[in-house]
This record gives sequence, structure tokens and C-alpha cells, in this order.
Amino acid sequence: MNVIKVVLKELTERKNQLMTSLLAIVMGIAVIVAIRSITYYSEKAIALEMDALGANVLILPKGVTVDDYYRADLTDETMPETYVDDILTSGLQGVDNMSPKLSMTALVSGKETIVTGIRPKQEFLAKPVWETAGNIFETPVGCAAPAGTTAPKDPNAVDRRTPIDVLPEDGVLLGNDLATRLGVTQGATLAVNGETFQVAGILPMSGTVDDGRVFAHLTVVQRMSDRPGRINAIEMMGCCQEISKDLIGGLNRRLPDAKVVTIKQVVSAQQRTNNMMRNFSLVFLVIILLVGGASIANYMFANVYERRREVGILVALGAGRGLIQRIFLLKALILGVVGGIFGYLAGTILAVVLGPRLAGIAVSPRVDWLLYSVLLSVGLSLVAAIVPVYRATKLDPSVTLQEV
Amino acid sequence: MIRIENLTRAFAVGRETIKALDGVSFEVQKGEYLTVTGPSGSGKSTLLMTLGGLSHPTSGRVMFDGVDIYRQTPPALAQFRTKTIGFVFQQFHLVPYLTAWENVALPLMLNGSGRGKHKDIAVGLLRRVDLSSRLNHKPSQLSVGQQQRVAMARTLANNPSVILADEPTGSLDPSLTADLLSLLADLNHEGKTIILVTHSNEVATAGDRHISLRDGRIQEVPGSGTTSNLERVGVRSS
Ligand SMILES: Nc1ncnc2c1ncn2[C@@H]1O[C@H](COP(=O)(O)OP(=O)(O)OP(=O)(O)O)[C@@H](O)[C@H]1O
Ligand SMILES: [Mg+2]
Repeated sequence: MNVIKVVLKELTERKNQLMTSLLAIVMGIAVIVAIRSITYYSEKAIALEMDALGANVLILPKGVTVDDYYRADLTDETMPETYVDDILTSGLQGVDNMSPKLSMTALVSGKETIVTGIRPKQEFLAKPVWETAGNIFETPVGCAAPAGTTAPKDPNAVDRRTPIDVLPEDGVLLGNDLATRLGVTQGATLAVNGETFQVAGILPMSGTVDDGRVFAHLTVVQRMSDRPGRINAIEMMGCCQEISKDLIGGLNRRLPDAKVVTIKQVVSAQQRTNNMMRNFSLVFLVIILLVGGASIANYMFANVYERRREVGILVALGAGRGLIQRIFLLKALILGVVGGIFGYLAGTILAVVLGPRLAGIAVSPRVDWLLYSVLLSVGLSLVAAIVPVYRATKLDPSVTLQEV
Repeated sequence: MIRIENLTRAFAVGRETIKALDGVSFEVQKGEYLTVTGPSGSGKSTLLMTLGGLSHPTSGRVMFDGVDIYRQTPPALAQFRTKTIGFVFQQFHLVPYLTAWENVALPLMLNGSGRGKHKDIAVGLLRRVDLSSRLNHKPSQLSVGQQQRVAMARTLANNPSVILADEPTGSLDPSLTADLLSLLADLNHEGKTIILVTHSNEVATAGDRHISLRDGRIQEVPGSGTTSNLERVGVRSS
């Protein structure tokens, strides 16, 4: 027999009461963990995006907002593929690595997956109009550097926007996560909306949304989604100096029905969203602290009242004020620990499930946050328990023991 | 030896002050068996609580072997309750979510004694009250008489030298009452001091000596505090 055993017996005596009082704190912690997880991975994705992005200019259909960047190539709005030709023939300087895209959702091995259509480099080279446009696939070395110096370029760096040289029309490339999930390797066949494709390759891990996608030939996606000659985004590399020299303005004038944005704008829009989420989660945090704390305090008040006779008995049997305090604080501690653990689990599951849906971001569990969840929950429970526990020590056994 | 000196206990109820005890003085010798009667509200329970270190008197002193128990530190007073006093209540006050043996082991846990042997000690005590077959029953699964016996076993766990019983037979039928009184008599023969509060004049004859309370004052103290059968007879006839 020890105090912990007695407290556990008491807590499990009324399971329903325990569950309902835990619910508030579990949900509170869950919401905080979920929001924090999604924000965290969203920020990380932006960082990766900025790192990995060869393209720093994005051309979108007019109606698509910058905020929709992650879903930009998933919207129904499209623009004609001829925009690519327009840009190339415009004589605008500083245009590089142009990549038109069209995305759709399709059933891949029976599961809804995003399929993005791209044009392999070979075809660009094959098209005379693009050939004459010059070295569109060469990353201009030292583009931003002052004349006379050359910026170092790591030849091993994996640039996810490195143009794909060859992609036959019956071939697909798989994002790394997706390939792992499907258990598919190069050379295998894959059914996309009932059509059979050959897996031409698995892309290296990029840490971005691309990891979960299928890449197919643009023409194929246009045909399968019944949108021939349409695209929903052009990513391109604008050379830094040219961007500052009104490349964007030039593009805008050339393509009045499209929206030309720099990646800086995109990222800052996403950061605005993230900041909003962060402020949101701060507001949530405060509300949840209040609600969760009130729920625990309420449970503790009720518990102290309900157990006032047992308190009297313990005192009559020789318990001091310290022991009474310890018993009720232990109770609060157990509530806090259990609430923290289950809140963390629920929040993590929520984030993993909702992350890709709400923010288009893959979220993986952050085990280290379990500690913060438990600390937060325990701290909350103990603070909420202070007044009820004080009240318990103030109970007069000569009164509570006389009650029938 | 217990000596109570001019004990007063007042309760403030609204603007009024109720004197539950109003200048009570008496002595109880070691090993004595005292019974206390009196009408409802006369202060019997208040007297017992004050004697047992559970309720500070408004004035007066409670002396145990020459020590004023209420002038000790709170931990020393708690220690006094654990080591010296054993309460018995009419409502038993068993802890509902603990089994019979766990209830009996509670004082051991509080005392910090017999670590690791709590169950053995508790089983031994329950055997003494003939309940060794109900070790793992919760109070709600026990009959009233069994609950009272568990409560007695719990009272005895720390081997208190003084037993303070507040209407212990109040919920018991005549046969169970007789059982309990015989157990208390046994304990008294083992040398424990017993103070028993009761409504029943018949039960009141169980002790060596009897006092009666009315409106917080002692009405009569038959006998001088020494133990003799003659006094018992005298109390009975009064
Ligand atoms: N906590 C309290 N607050 C206010 N008044 C109290 C309190 N406890 C007892 N009293 C009053 O003190 C008086 C004595 O009460 P006590 O419980 O000691 O009586 P009793 O002799 O045990 O009665 P009973 O035989 O009904 O148990 C009563 O008038 C009661 O109302
Ligand atoms: Mg009473």
C-alpha cells in the first residue's frame, strides 16, 4: 500500500468522470500540437522550397491567388501553353529553365494522387522555336555576381528543378515518398486512371510536395484531364539582375491574362499565412489554457468535495496536511501526464491526417514535442489544482466525519 | 492518563454562538472504560473529536500524560492521532474504493510502519474480527456488521492505547451490538482505554464508569474514577 496506489484506485473508481475531465485538456493539447506541427512543417517546406527552387518566377492564371501557391497547379484555372512560346519569342532577357505544368488528381494504384504533367528537356531542344531562343536550360553561372567573378556551383547539388531530359509518353516519374509508399521501383508498371505507365525513374527526396506526386508527360496529362493545350503554371528561372531590371513588368505586359509573381512574393504570402497560424495558435493556446485549466480545477473542486469524508478519515487516522496536499496534487499530476500524452497523440494524428489536406504539407510526428505537451499539461493541471488542494487541507475533519 | 480541564468549544452559527462544550472537566485513568450519554446535541461527538485531537477547543486543555496535545506542532498532533488514538464511528467511514484489507492497511501506510508487510498485518487483524474470507471485498459488498468489523480492524491497526467510539452500535442490531461490545471489553482487558459515546442506556452499562452530558456540561459523574463492579451496578440503577 502506498499513496500512489490509493490515488490510482480513487481515479479509476469513476472512469466516466475521469474521462470527461480529461477530455478538455486532451483536446486542448491536441489542437495546440496539431497547429504547431502543421505550421512547423509548412515553414520547413518554405525553407526547402526556397533552397531547392530553381525557379524564382511563377506564371499563374489570372484568377489564382498567390496564397494558393501550393495548390496553384491544382486549380481548375488554366492558361494556354502557347504562353511559353510567347515568352521565348519575346526577346526578354534573363529567362531560363522554363517549365510548364498541368496537374490533376488521378487514381494511382487505386488511391487519389496528384499527377503533374511536365515537358522533358528533349522536346524543348527539339522544337526549333525554343532552340533558337538559346540556352534556356543552362543555369547562368554567376548570374547575380558582379562581372569578373564566378559564383561557385556545386556539381553534386541535387536541384529538383534540374530539367528532366527524357520522359516518354508512356512513362512516369515518381516522387520519393510515393514510390516508397507504393513499393514501386524503376521499370515497374503503374496504373493511372486505368492507363498503364512504365515507371521511368524515382526522383530523389526533395522534402517538398513533389515527393508525393507522379510526374507524367504534359501531353498525357492534358489528354487525360481533357484540357489539350492548357497548363496551369509556368515555373521559370529569372536571372536576378534581369528581375530587378523589370523582367516581371515585361512578362506582365506580354501576358496580360496571366499573373506573374516572383517567388519572394509567394514565400512572403505563405509566411503571412504562417504568421497568422502562429498568432492563431497563440490565441488558441490562451483559450485552451483557460478552458483546460477550468476543467481541471472544476474536477478537482468536485473531487475534493466528494472525497471530504475520506480526507476526514485520513486525518483522523493520523494524516497531516502535507499528505492531504500530496494526494490531491498527485491526482492533478496524473491528470496532467495522461492529458499531455493523449493530447500529444491526438494532436499528432490530427496533424498527420489534416496537414496534407489543409496545407498540402506532409507532417511527420515530432517525438520531442511529447515532452513539451506533457510539461504544459502538467503545469496547467498543477496550477489549476492549487486552490482546490488548499481547500482540501482546510477541511475540518470534525465536521466532515459528522456528516451522515 | 487523560485529563480534561475546563474544556469549551463554541461554534459561530450566523450571529449566534453555540457552546457545544461549556466548561467540561474530568479525568480518565489508563485502562479505564468510560461511557458517555446525553441527548442529541448535548456535545458528545464534539467532546470525542476534541479528545482525539481533531478539533481545537475554544478554551481549556486536553492533557495526555501531562502533555497539552493542542500545544504541539501540527505534525506532532498528527503523530499523536496515529500512535495513540483509534476512532470508531457509527457510519464506519470506510474508504469506498479500497478493499477490506486495504482499508485496514491505511493507518499502516500513514504511519510508515511495517512496509512491505501491510497485507500480512491487515489479514491478521481481519482474522481477529473473523473476516479473513472477505479480504478483497469493497465496503459496498459487505454487510453492515462486516463493515463495522473492518472498521474495528482498521482502528486497531496501529495498536492505539485509547479507543474513542462515537455511537459504534448505532447502526447494529442487538446481536451485532453484543459482538462489538464483547470485542471492546476484550480490548479493555488488554489494557486499552476506552471512551464510548452512546444513546443507549443499556450500552452505557458496558463501561466501568459513566458520565452524562447536557447542553455541553457534565450532569453527573457517578463514582470517583476507580474501577469496580459495584460502580457498574450503581450506574445501571441510576
Ligand atoms: N461544525 C459545527 N458548526 C456549528 N455547530 C456545531 C458544529 N458541530 C456541532 N455543532 C453544534 O454543537 C452542538 C453539539 O453537537 P454534537 O454533534 O457534539 O452533539 P451530539 O451530542 O453528538 O449529538 P448526537 O447525539 O445527535 O450525535 C449541537 O448543538 C450542534 O448543533
Ligand atoms: Mg454525535
